[in-house]
Amino acid sequence: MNRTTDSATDDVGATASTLGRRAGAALAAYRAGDPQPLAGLVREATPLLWHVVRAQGVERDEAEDVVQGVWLALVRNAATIREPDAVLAWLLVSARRAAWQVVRRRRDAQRRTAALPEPEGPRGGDLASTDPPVEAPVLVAERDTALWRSFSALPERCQQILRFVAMADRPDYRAIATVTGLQVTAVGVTRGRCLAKLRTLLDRDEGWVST
Amino acid sequence: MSDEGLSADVPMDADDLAVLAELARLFERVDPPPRGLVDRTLFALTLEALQTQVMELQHLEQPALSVRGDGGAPGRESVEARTITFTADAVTVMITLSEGPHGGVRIDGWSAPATRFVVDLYRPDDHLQTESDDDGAFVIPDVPPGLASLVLRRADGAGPAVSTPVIEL
Repeated sequence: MNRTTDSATDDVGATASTLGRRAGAALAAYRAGDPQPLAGLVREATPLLWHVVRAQGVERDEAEDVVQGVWLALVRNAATIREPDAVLAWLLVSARRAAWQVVRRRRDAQRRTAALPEPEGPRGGDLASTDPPVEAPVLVAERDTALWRSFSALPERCQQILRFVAMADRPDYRAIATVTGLQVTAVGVTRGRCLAKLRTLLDRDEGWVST
Repeated sequence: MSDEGLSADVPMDADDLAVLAELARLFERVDPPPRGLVDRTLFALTLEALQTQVMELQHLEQPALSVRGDGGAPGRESVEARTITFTADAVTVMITLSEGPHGGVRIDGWSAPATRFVVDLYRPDDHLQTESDDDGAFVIPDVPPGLASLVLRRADGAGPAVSTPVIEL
């Protein structure tokens, strides 16, 4: 068990040398008056933030505002985020929080207008969406349709984890924990379970097996 | 396992990685970040660095003619004038957008209080400067379409610089 924990900790250190470390360096340079590295970081990390926000169930046009708002907030708070290693986590947490706010606001609005009570999911703050994280896209290829079908059948937390793992170049455990609200030590196990679930669903899917 | 960074308690095999790669491709295809999101963000960060007071959009007038498919000339809708008003504590700006002489956008602006303003038009790639007359009126004759933000400072240096939200010309 100790070994497991240690190796998870190593993951954090190892991957911090990539996106996480660049994020820290970019903000430090920005504070020092050089905005160029931050521009590079915006280019590199915007797709990741986009997928984090979208995985929470935020509509596309709102997600655009959320992502832009996160970057503006980073710059406005540049003076207070002193720990270089904390910059990426700060971005991810801010993106997730802002996404929740949007989703919650929309749900409150729906609740006020809807006559029927909504089915009560496991609400209470965090990951309580009962909506599919993303509306079903129009897919042409049968294999894509099969993959989407199986992915959509996964529990929401699995969808969030796998989407993040798939989109991040080298996702580290701390980043995934940040995005999903899991303990860092639980990330590896949960990710493994989610992947296994997805593959089981796919193996049963004609559209996947036959292509 | 070649990728130690991904393999803590439950190692991923080649099939896992293949499924993840397909998922990534699927998401890139069905839900990519909008085109221009990065550029718009960088532009917003540039404007943020100017530390201006951002004005509120107060009023937007669309001409009643801007109905699509009413048998008019194609592309006609885009050249009609529209008028937008922005306000901040100390400054109000009204701008009218119409077609410029070379196919760009002409901006006619009036600012209040009626005094001389230094007017900067910021775009993602460049910026240009003009001044209003003593009554607060200014003209920017021909700007290429795209994102822009106007920044106004009183020429006498009084008060803070104000900027409009980013608008699409």
